[in-house]
Amino acid sequence: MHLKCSLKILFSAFLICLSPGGMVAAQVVVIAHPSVEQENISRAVLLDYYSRDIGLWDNGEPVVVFDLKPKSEVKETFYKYLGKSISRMKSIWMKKMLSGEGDPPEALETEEAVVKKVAATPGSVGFVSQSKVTEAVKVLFVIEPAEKK
Amino acid sequence: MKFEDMKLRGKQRLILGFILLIMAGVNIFAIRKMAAIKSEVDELTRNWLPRAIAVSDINLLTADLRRSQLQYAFADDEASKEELRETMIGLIDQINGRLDTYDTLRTEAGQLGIYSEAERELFSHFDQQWEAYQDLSFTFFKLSRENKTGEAADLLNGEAREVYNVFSADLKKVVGGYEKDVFESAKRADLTYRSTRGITISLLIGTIILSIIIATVFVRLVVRPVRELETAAGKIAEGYLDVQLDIGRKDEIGALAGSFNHMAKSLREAKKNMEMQAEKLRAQADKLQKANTELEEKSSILEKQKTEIVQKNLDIYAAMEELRAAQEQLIMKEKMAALGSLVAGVAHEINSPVGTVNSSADVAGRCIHKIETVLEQSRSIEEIRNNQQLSMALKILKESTRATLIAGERIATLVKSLKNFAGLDESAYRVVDVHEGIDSSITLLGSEFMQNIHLVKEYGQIPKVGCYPAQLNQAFLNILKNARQAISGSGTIHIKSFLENAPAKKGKQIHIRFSDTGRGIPPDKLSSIFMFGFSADEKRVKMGSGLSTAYNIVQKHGGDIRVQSEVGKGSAFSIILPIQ
Repeated sequence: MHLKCSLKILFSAFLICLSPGGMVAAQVVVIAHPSVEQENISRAVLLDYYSRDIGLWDNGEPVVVFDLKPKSEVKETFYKYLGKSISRMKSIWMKKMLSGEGDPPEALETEEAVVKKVAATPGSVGFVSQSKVTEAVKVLFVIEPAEKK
Repeated sequence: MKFEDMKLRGKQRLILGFILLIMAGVNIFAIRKMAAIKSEVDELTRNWLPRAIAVSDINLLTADLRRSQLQYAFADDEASKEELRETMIGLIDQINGRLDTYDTLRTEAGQLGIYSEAERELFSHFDQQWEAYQDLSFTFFKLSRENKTGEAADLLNGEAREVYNVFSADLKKVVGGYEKDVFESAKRADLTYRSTRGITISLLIGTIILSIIIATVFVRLVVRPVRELETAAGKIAEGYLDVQLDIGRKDEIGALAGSFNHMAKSLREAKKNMEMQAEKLRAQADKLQKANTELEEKSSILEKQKTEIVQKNLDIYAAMEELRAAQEQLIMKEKMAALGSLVAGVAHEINSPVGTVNSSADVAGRCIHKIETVLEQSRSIEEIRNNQQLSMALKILKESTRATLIAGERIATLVKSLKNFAGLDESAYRVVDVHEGIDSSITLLGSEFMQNIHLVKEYGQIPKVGCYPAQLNQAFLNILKNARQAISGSGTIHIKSFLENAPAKKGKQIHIRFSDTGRGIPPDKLSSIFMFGFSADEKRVKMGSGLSTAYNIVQKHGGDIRVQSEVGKGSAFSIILPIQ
């Protein structure tokens, strides 16, 4: 029975190895518009922003969050960090939409577009690979791939 | 150590232990297998069933959500739209709840190893489709909000419907997979059960067979030599003692066989000994028989002799009685003889005063005649007064009267002594003064008998003694007589009495010693002087039974007579009397 279990784990690991860029886990960076004053944002607060439970910064500015449209490792890593699956996150957004508390975050096609959009929108927050970060945005923190949840 | 050489208990333990070990092994195997079956069944009931329910629920709830969305698309008024929104929020909450449940169960199933790769793929596919459906839903709600009802309905019936159909099919496949898994699991459990049962039963049968074989071998191992022993014992019981067992073993049976051989040997020896003893006994019995016969003969002789002895005893007793009677007669005779001599002496003693009385009476008669004559011839008083003859006659009369009186007194004394000595009127037991008895004896012996004898009396202060005075006086008389007879010519008899301490018992005793200056008794005769009929010397006066009588009398009074004597110097007889 244990042998069976071990075999399964091995097989899973094999599948992960086959997946593109599986082994080279990219570091995901949480970025913000330079106007954002907060230096450190906790995971819980970030989840509150993304789930639209909190809509304003401490200084009263509205919080704008961006999502990545295509399914990617960056996206997966980010939502895993927040502790919600993407589909679950979407359920939360759907509820918010139905109760009229707000629409889901705008989902952009590329990481570059995310950087550009965050740089252009005050009070905005987004997530991209570390390699895509530019001077135009403020880096809030880096999510280590090992850092799960 | 070889198995053969082990003790029976050791063998028993070893075999029992071996069997128990096999049994324990079988049991452990069966228990482990049963546990495996149980865990299979547990997995089914604990995880698969709730997982299947959760997935089915998700399928139903998403269907409801889609129906609500359709209703929402065609709803006219805001109120019903609001209501439908509420419904959809509830449905989404429920879907999420089921998804949470499923996640938990899936994690658990992954740990248990009952989460298949196919299910993972299917569910992952469902998740993607569900995500896509939600994206489409966002678009749908936006279109609805913008009142683009037609487009919204198209979206739902077109793209969204396809997506829905895909994930719904995925969910159905997951549930279907469960059915398959459950079936397979049950099959597996059944297989495990069957194989376990088969193995357990075969192991049990094997153990039983093995146990039987071991037991049989063991029993043979024990029973065979025991049978040999039994046969040998039977032979011995029948009397064949020449049995020897040869069991080359070192366990209890080996020891038993050794003991048996030893016993058989001992029995042989014992039998031999017994036969010898029996022979001896037989010989002895013969001897005994003879001896017995002799004994019986002797016994009858002895019996006769015994009767004779009894008869003789009786005769002796009669003779003794006669002897005693003779002795008493002798004593009586002696007494009579003594009395005879005494009477002779006493007669002599009385005779002389009687003579005196007679002569005095004659003189007195003649004096009275003279006085009468003088009185007749005289004419005056003066003449009478001056008559020489008359005064002479009166003087003689006076003297003769005095002599008569003295003689009378002497006779009276004699008679009294005689009476006293013989105790004629008072022979019974009395308390008397011993000195009086001695004095009476001396008186009775008479002055003539005591002629030329110097008698010294040295009486001490002694108490009166309870006795038979007549007998005791006889003893004194005999002793005195003996003393007087031992003296030839003149001599001294010394009588001394005193009180002394009794050596045997506490208190005092009376000691009376009669010592004489006679010829004495030679030492070789001393031991026989108190014997009856003793005669010391032919020349000497025969002693007769005097001393013997004295001895008997003193003995009768609980006293003792002792004698000390030296030839040529004299003897001393001591009479010891106790004070009662």
